[in-house]
Parts: sequence; structure tokens; C-alpha cells
Amino acid sequence: MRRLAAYLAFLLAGFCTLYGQNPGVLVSGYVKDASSGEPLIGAVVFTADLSVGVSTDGFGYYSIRTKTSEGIVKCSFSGYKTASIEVRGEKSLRHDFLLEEDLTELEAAKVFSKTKREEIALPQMGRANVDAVLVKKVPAIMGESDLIRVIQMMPGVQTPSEGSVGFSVRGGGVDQNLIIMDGAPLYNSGHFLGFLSMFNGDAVKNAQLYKGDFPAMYGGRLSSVLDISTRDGNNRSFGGNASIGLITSKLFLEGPIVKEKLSFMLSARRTYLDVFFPLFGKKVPKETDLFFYDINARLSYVAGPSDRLYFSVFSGRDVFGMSMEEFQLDHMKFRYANNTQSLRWNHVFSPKVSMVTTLYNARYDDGLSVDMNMADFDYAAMIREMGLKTGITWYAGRYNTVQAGVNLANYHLEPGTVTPSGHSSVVIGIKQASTLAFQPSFYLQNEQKLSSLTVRYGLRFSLFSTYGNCMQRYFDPVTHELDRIEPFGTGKKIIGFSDLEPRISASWSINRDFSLKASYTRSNQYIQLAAVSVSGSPVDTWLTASPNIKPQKSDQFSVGANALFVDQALELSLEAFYKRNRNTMDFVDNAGIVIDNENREGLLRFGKSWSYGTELMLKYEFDKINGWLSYTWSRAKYHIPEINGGEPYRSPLNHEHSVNFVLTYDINRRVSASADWVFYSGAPTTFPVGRFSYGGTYAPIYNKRNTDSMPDYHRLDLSVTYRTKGRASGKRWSGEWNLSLYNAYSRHNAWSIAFNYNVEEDKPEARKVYLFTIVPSVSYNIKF
Amino acid sequence: MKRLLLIAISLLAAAGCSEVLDVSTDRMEKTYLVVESIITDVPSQRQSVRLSLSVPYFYDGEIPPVSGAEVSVSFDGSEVSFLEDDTHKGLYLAPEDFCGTPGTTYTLSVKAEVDGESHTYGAEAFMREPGVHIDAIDYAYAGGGTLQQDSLWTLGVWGEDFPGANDYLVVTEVNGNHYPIDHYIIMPDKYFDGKSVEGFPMAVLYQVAEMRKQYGDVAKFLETGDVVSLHAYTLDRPFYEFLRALDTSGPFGTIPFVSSQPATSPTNITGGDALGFFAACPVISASVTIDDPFRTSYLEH
Repeated sequence: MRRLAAYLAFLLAGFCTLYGQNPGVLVSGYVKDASSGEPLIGAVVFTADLSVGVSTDGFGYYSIRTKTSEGIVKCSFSGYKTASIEVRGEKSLRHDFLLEEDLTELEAAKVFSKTKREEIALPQMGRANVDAVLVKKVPAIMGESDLIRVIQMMPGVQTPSEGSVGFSVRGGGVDQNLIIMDGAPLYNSGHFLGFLSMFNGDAVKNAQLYKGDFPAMYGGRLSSVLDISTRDGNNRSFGGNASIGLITSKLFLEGPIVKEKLSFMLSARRTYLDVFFPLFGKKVPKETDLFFYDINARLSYVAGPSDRLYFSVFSGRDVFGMSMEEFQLDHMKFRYANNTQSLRWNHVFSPKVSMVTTLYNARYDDGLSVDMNMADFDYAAMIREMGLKTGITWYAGRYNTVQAGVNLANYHLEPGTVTPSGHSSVVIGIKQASTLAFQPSFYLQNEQKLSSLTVRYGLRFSLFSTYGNCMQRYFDPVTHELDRIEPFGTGKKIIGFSDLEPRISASWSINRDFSLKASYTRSNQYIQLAAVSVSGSPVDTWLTASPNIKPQKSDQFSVGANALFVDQALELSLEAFYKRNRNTMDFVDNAGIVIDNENREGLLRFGKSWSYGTELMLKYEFDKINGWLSYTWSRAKYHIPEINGGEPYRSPLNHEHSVNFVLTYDINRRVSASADWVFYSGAPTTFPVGRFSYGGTYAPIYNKRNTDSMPDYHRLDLSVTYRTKGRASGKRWSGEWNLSLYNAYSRHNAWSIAFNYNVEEDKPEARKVYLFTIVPSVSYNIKF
Repeated sequence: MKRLLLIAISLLAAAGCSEVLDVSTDRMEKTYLVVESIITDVPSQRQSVRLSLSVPYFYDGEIPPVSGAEVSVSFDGSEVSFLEDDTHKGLYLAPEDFCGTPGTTYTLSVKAEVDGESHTYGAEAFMREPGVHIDAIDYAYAGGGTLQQDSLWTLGVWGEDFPGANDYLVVTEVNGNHYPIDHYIIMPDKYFDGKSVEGFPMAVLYQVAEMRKQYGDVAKFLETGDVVSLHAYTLDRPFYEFLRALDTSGPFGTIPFVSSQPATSPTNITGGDALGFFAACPVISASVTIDDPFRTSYLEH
């Protein structure tokens, strides 16, 4: 308590310095693309003498107070010409910067959008900014450029298994990442059992990944926040593009409905492999379903100089079904779907105060239907989150930016219902108890510049409670057996938790090209995946904190240094982190699959976990060559007294060494090439060391948990893009061919290791299963 | 459910390619004594204890039996010695007149030499009252098979499940021979706890052409006159957990999305490095004679 009082006093002391600053000129407004009207996120607005600088927020809004009453204010953004405005002693000035694309530079030559000096001076650690241009430049698997694949190449981010678009940040679980698109959360970000992400490259404008040093506005997950913004849509003229790739076709349309007032963006893609199944005859079993689609739509409305409204919709659905006669299975179908809607209102109260309010609804459904003689059934589970978020930003002066807000989220979970299907099914239906929960949180944060030191400090207060109507199961904390089942009436509180989450980070600029940083973050997670598999599957279900599950808590400490060289063309960053987590949970040995087990909470065991490591990244940004080289060394361990004989064990998601190398090269205006190379040491796993015979079958004997390692992984991808003459030569459209090679030297990277008894040779064997050899692909994109 | 997921993901795995991987085999630090024994209340069944040794995973010889051990089972102040069978090394048989009784606790004692050291191992098992009463069983041909030559029969049970958590091990036989494909099923009673059941499909017999190649005539197509028997063993919770773990830790290795953390099956054998299980189960059995293997519905019972 004393520590908290001291912290609050520090917070207040900071706010007291908001007053008494010399007024210069207050300049505020939006930064937009001059041709499309699209707001630009992360554009930098600064005074010509470089004494003050800010960057635009997620809506392209900025507010800056100059030091002097006269001077020049400039605005720059990669790939655009710098614009400027002169101030002449006005008290305040509203100005929207309209930036024109810089045609003297090669198209999309620069992949990092922020001005680097601004970035390294920010009191923000462990953040990666990824924009659409970067995503499109990195070689893609099967020709599908993918945001998450780029995220996976950032230092500190690990891939759980080959091909998967789940990701683990600094040793955390795949469910410890908060993924938000236009303000609404997504509970599964993978298509095709995780081989492609839900994020269509055409629709995504920008993504920010926070690896632990969370601004106070974010909470609810321990490892990372991935905040994705989609495009607003051109509010001046119609346009779009269409593409045909190996596995999907895409269409993107944008344009004004009311010019410069109301615009739309519509992006859709669907796989079409299933359309060709009949051509394969009997090679593809009858009734095979294999497709996904996703649709992003957005309406953007400029209601006035101070109000903007955005309505975003996302719908994605996967179906994977087939008949498997050799298993007596007439038909089996997995399905899952994400649907989100969000309404956002950006209001500017005054040049110094702006507000963003988001009302959202997010729903994730998954299921499995099986036709198997008399055992036909349908399994369905669902999670729904509805919420309201309001955040106010107060540009309190030249040196302070204060943010405060409220998030209210309501959860409804249906963990699993089994229903017999077909008149002859003998399966008896099971309906597991649903869970209702409410999570309000409040935050206050100030970012304060103190000469060469910039500090961001804030406090988040999060509460979480579950309530009826439901039947709550209680498990004995010692024996883990079911103790009792208690009914709770509608609205009656079952259990509540709360915690204060202090956040603080600081950046000390030694000079304009070198800074040192440090941060501390506390966060809580009240909802988690009940996944027995380390990488998770689409039919894993979510569990909330409950009388049996305490919220997971994390404290993370980071220190780092950033330096710019060669006229800012090279940026070197080094970060070291230590993270300790409490109430870490894991499944007991031999838990088996738990989706139809209403006593699954009794299979969980609790302890602590920790991870530490260093991340080194060298970004290079020259006229024609861009990219980065990163190296991460990290360790992550769990200690759960009732697992592994009470000894700590390695996290199955952590690769001790990982290297990522990305290079993009613009050969000329129309041809560009790119390459990436990925290496990581094998993930910890458990292999059998022996076997014994019981009942005529063999059973494996395992070592201690995760003492073995999968084979090391490495892969090279190559890509070439050729643009046709198109618009520059007066045509109404332009085309783009892309050729790519995934896994160019065809390494057989292990996806899994299967231990089988080889009947023909009458001996046991270990088989490495690999999914990919070399995967060439071609796609054509037409832009109109 | 688990098996369905495994099948789906295995198919995905099959869509990729595989190659044999050389994994170090010299890491097994100790040899375990393995105990297999289920004391039953069936008078006609010879009670037995089978002892063997664990082997390194890639060992390609026969599983070594443990010979020359002293094996006994005590209960209610009595003790019965199990003597090694002359023709089957490692198999220890009780006197022919010994069988279990529900409500009794049995204590196993095994004195055996493992890795040159003599140890005394022990285990305790309580035989519950049967959790089910079976009036009759019947079969129905489910056709099943979209794959040619495959056939599937369900075995329906008429009877009553007694209240309380009971789990079953269901073993099927054809003409007195264990059916080799999935010849046992572990079944929790949560779907029919305390209820009368009429035609509940407690077991299936299926015959797949591929499997027949491996198992020969034992995995036979049912014919008129064949006698199909079903034995329901009532399990206590630890034995159920052991069998379920045995089922889970199957041959699939670690498959992303599906596999839980691999772990060795639990055991109730104490006194040294040991695996396996000593159990005591009451058995309820019923039989039916096949009149028409293609009959697709149950008869009135």
C-alpha cells in the first residue's frame, strides 16, 4: 500500500508540471494522403528547428505546441513529400496536412514509416510497427502475403510450429497475445488450421506490436498486444485491385459514397481449391470441404471538422471436412468463424483534447460435426465479447500528453455443447455450463518530456468478475476432485478479482542518435485458452478466471539502447528483458483432450513461470536496400510443483536462439526482389526413452518434461515482383506479377516427430513429418 | 473426440512427407519392472500376474519376461502364491480354485531381480461391486463400410447402470477369442449413470480388410453360429486413469494442435522402479449367437 501511495504521489507530481509552460502556437489537425484522403498513422509533425515533434495517432490526428510564436511546422511520412506550414503568432491553428506521394522515390521504397530520431527518443520499448507496404514486400508462402509472418520475424517473437500463424512473445503462450482489429478483439487469427492469418494484406493499413511495455490503455493479456488498423477507403475517387493467387482470389474496392465525406472500403478473399475438386476424380474423397473466406468492410464518415465515425465489419470462416472411410467415418467437418463489428467515434473537443470511443462486438464460434454410423453428433462452442472503450487524449502542453480512459467488456462463453444428430444417433447430448463475466478497467497515463529524458508513467486498474446464471463447479485444491456444484441465479456474482497495474517507461536521449531506455509493466490476464496442445487448435475453448483459476499476473522489466548510424540509414537496437509470471497454469500429465470434459478445470495445475533474454536488431534503410537482421537469445521456464516431479521445465514455445534476416532490393522502378532467412533452435519437447508392454500393446516411457529438443529450423524464401507500365504511361490500370519461392533450398523442417511401431520391419522408429519442401508460387494483381 | 481430432490431424500430417529420424537411444537411465494383472471374480478364469521388463525405445528384440520371481496375493488374512507357468516365462498363475470377490482388498507382493538387484514390489487393489447389471446383449450390422469389404457391428446392451461413478473396460470375444482390433474400450458411465439402458452400444466389432491381412482369421467376418461375448469390467478410478493414459500416450508422437504434453502412464506398483498396474475388477458378461450377420436392427429384449 505504501508503495502504491508513493507511486500515486509520483504520478500527481508529474501532472503538476503540466502548468506554467510558455505558450507557443498550438497546431492541430489530421495528416492525410492527398490523393485518397486516407489518414496517415505515425506521420511525424515537427518544428523546423527539430525542438518539438509529435506523431499522429491511430486516426491520423496530431496536436503540437511550438516553442516560439513564429516559425515553420513540418510534416513527414515515408514515401511522401514533406509538407510544411508557417505559423505567425496565432494562438492556435487548425491545419490538416495533405501529403503527396513522392514519385521521385521508388514506389514504397521505405519500409519503416516513423522518423527514426523520433522513434528512438520515445519512452516505448519492445514495439514493432508494421505497415502494409512492408507486409507486401516480404516473401509469402503460397503467394499470400501475411502480416503475422512479418510479425514472426521480429526479435522476441517465436513460431509455435512450422506454418502456424500463432505466435509466442518472449516465452508466453499463444493465448497471451491480445489481437485487436479496428478496436475489436479476435479470438483466433488463423485460417487453414493456422497456415494463413485472418488479415488480408489488402485491407490492413498498419499494425503495432507491443511486446510487453504496454501503454496503460491496453490490458488483459500478458505477452503482447497486436493492434491492427484497416484502411479507411479513398474518399476522393473509386479504385481497387483484384488478384489471383495459387490458393485464393482477392478483390479490394474503395471509393467515396459522398465525396470527401463518406467513403467505403471492401476487401474479400476466398480460397478456390474446392472448386477444382471434381477434376481430381476419386483422388479427392467425396464430400471434401476445404475453404475459407474473409471479408473486411469499413465505412468512414467525416461528420464535421471535429468528428469522424468509422464502422468496421470483419467476417471470416473456415471449413475443413472430409469423409474418411478407412476410419469408418462417413463425414467429419471442422468449422470456425470470427465475426466482429465495431463503431468508432473520433471527436476533437479542442485542439488540445481528443476522444476515441469504440463500441464493439466480437464473436468466435467453433465446432465439429461427425457422421459416423450411429454415433453422429455435433459439437459447438462459442465466445462472445461485447464492450465499450472510451479514451481521452489531452495534449497538455509542449511536454506532456495525458491519456485517460475506461474499458468495459462483457464476456459470454459457451464452452461446449454436444448434440446428437440424425435420428439413429446413440450419442447422448451434453451441455456444459456457460460462463458470464464482466471486466471494467480504468487507466490514466502521462507522457512527459524532461529535457533529454522522456518518461511515460501510468496506472491501470482492472476488475473481473463472473456471474450467473450458471452451475459453478468447485474443485478441491489438493485432490483436484470435483467438490461440489453450486447454482448461481441470474446476475449473482460468483467471484471477483482486481489489481492495480503500474506501467512506467523512460527514454534518455544521450544525443539525437543514441538513447537508453528502461521499462516496467504489470499486467493481468483473466481469460485463457484451455489448450492441451502447445500450439493450440481451432477447437480449443476459452476459460475465464474462476473459483478454481486465479488470474495470471506478469511483471516485466526491460532495459535497452538504440543507436542510429550512417545518416540514420542504420538503426541498432538492443533490449534485455526479464519477465516473471504468477498463477501460470498447465495441464496435468495425461490430460488428454478436454473439449468435452466439464471437469477440465480440475486437470489444471498452477505455479509460476519466468523468461529472460536479449534481442538485437539491426534495421537498414537505404535508397534501394531495406530490411533487418535480428538475433534473439531467450530462455523460458515453468515451475509447477505438481508437474514434472516438482522440477522446473522448459517452455515448449521458446527457441533459445533465433535469427531473422530480411532484405528487400528495388532493382529499378518496376522490378524489386526480396529474400528472408529464418533460423531458430529446436523447441523443447519430450521424446520417449523406453517402452513397455501392457495388454499386448506398447506404451512409451518418457523422460522428464521438455528435456529433448526438436531439430533446428532454417529456411530461405525468395520473391521477385514485376510491375507493368500501368498508370505512369496513362493506362487506367496497372498490373503486378509476383513470383516467390518458399523454403528455397527445400529443407525438410520437422513439423512433428512421430514415434511409431513399423509393422513391416517389426521395430519401433521415429519419423520426422515435414509439411513443405520448396513451394513456388505465382500471383497476379491488377490495380485500377 | 480425441481420436477424431487425431485422425484429422494425422491426415494433415500424411499430406506432408516423412522420413526416419535418428534419435539418440541411450538415454534410458533405468529398467522398470512391469506388472500386468487384473484379479477378477470369474471362477472359470485362471488368475494371473505377468511380469516383464521395460526396454529402450528402439530395442528391437522380444520384451524380456521376468522369471524366477516370488509372487503372492494376500487378502482377508489369507495368502495365495502365484507360480510361474512352465511354458510362458514371466506368467505367474494362481491355483485354479482362486478367484476374487467384490468388496475385498487384494495386496500384491512381488520379489524379483531387476538389473541384478533384488527388490520387493507391492500394490493394493480393491474390488468394487459391479456397476452394471446386464440382461442381454444383441448385435446389429451397421454396414458401415463405405470402404468395400469393411463391416461393422454394434453390440447393444440391455440392463441397468447402478448410481455412482462407474467406469468400464469392455472386452469383446468371438468364439472365446479376444477380438484383436480395438478389443477393449474404456467407457465412463457419465452418459448413462444410474439409468436403465436398452440397446446402448457399449462395444463395436469391426472388420477391415487391411486389418485382416495383419491379424488373419481372428479378425473374422461374423458368420451364423458365431458366439459373441461382451465382458464389462467395473474399474476403480486409478485403474481407469491408467488405461485412459495408456490410450492417450499412443503412437502419434507430438503433433502440433493436438498432442498434449507426453507423459508416462501412472502406476500403482510401489517398492522400486516399476510400471504397469495391479487391479481387481468384477466382471459382468453376456453372450449372443449370430443368427444373421446382416441383420441391421436389434431384436426385442
